[in-house]
Amino acid sequence: MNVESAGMVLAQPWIVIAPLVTTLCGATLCVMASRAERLRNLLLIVTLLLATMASWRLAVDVIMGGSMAMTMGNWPPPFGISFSVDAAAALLNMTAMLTTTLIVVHKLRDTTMLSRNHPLMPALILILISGVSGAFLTGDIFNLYVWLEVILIAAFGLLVCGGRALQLDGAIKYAFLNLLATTLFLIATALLYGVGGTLNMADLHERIGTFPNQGILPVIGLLYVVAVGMKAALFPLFFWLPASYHTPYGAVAALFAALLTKVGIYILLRLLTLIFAPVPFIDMWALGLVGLATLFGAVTGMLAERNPRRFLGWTVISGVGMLTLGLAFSLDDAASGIALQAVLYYMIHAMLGLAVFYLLAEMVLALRDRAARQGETEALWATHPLLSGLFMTTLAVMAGIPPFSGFWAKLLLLQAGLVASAYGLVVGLLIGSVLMLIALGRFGVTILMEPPRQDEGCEGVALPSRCRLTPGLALLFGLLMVIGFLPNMPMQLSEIAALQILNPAAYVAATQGVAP
Amino acid sequence: MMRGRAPSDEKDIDSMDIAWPLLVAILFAVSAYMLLGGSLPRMLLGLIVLSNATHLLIFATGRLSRGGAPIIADDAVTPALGTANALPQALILTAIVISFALFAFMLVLVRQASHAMKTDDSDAMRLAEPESMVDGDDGMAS
Repeated sequence: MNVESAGMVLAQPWIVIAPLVTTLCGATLCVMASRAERLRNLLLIVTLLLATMASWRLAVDVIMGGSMAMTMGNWPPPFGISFSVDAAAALLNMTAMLTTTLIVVHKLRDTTMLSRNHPLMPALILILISGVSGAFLTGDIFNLYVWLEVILIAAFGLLVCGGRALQLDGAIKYAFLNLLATTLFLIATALLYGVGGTLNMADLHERIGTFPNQGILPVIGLLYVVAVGMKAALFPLFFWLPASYHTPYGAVAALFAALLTKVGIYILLRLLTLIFAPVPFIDMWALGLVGLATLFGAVTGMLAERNPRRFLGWTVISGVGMLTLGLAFSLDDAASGIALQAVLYYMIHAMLGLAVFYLLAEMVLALRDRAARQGETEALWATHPLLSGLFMTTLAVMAGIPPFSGFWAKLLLLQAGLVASAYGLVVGLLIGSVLMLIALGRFGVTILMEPPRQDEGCEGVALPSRCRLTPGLALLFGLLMVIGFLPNMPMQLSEIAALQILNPAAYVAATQGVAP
Repeated sequence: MMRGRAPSDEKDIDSMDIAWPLLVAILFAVSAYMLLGGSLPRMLLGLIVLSNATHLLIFATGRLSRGGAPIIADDAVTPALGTANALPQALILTAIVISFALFAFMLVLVRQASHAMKTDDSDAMRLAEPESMVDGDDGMAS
């Protein structure tokens, strides 16, 4: 593209960066208001609501009107840093924003001590969601590294809010391993730039087949997979997750579980389907076996775990394993459409489901701890029937029992696997699902139906004065039920997004500023 | 058109073309060794060396050359051929700033954690991942 011909004024749809800018400005205001707690919480909620509305508008615009892109500084692409949004990015961004808003709404009304507020917590939450949003919306791979680091530093801050020695220990393990992961990502990006001279994802998609040093591209691709695999918690690099996700307070752990590993899977998706699509470097079976190993590792962890809060971490990893299997199925040409649809629907289900799971588990475990401390012998099932019912339902959702969303997600994955003729992987997925069902069922029965006892790892974490279903949690749960009972809309959206991923011509054209 | 300078035609192998990758490799090896050492301050130093190695790597991907400053002449639209690559400095600066901030956090975190757990050996910090209990009687006993 000639610089002369790029003298045209490029249309700049600012809605593309609106969610991001809103949350960053809100974070700044929250830092400035760090002495007034009510103002801080108000700013947090207002900012998140505005950002959610912006994300909604963006999602509607992109799904109705096609991909949108905006290049910073009015530089012609690919020189400027582009933010390119197609349906998948908009959908995931919307879900992430909505989940965060509802978690925060719940957190502000939650009566357990677990939601104790550090003055910087609202700012850190806003920085975290801005990083997640940026990672979903960006179209430049170095910019993606920057957003990963933004997420990282916000996550560090949120991990240690509270200051218990347990949190510091968890933070050390999380920090070193994730820093290493993002440094590997940076190394791979540097190498990719060195080979190709461009960092724009759409541009890479167009020209990666023509780079002079083709032999090194599989190496760079695999380095990316390792780096992103550490972020997404793939086997054998997932051990930082059960070591750290159980340490922070309830809503923070829910945020981490719902958002952070999904960003890793999204990056893996972009790598496989957009950037390295013309030069495939990994086989369906290779990625599939990694996914299976992740799934079985997670299930083993679930079955072996004694600490209920660490158990929740293994559930996150099992979801990641399923998503990686979906990505593996998408490498097969025949199944790529349905596999990507499965992956996107599963990601929506996982974001909402894990948030509900973590928040409800926090409440249930806090109640159980208090009951054990007071020497009660009646099981939680008897004393708190509504909460127990909701918790059991969430376990059913995560285990994939019909008619909840987990079932549809797994069904789509299995369908993709069968179309791809990866029968070994499908069998592995089924065995893993059965084991997951056993583990989750056992967890539910132990926590809800047996007399309360003091669980390892939950000592002194909360003495709730009342335990009620806050509006935020009710809405989140309701949404989870809606995508389960009425799966058509999310499935259709996922299908639209999957088709756009498979045919990125519109995405590339939008990024390069060519009028559609 | 690529951002930055095109990879040049084959030129003679400079001594820096050998020395620089060697240096980066040695720094990566040193950082790996230090990161794997158990004591936290040693791991912190390993982190610094790792980030230094990465920054030098980004530098090298912009090609080591004896090119001039990438300033565009008054009557031209693009820089003349043979000038240095203007982009890697931006990438390195971003990376330096990020790793500096993260390192500052890690420093304070390690200090606080060592105080709280009375040790600076990461293997001895077993709060988040306790030793396995063999005959334990606990909340999730089946």
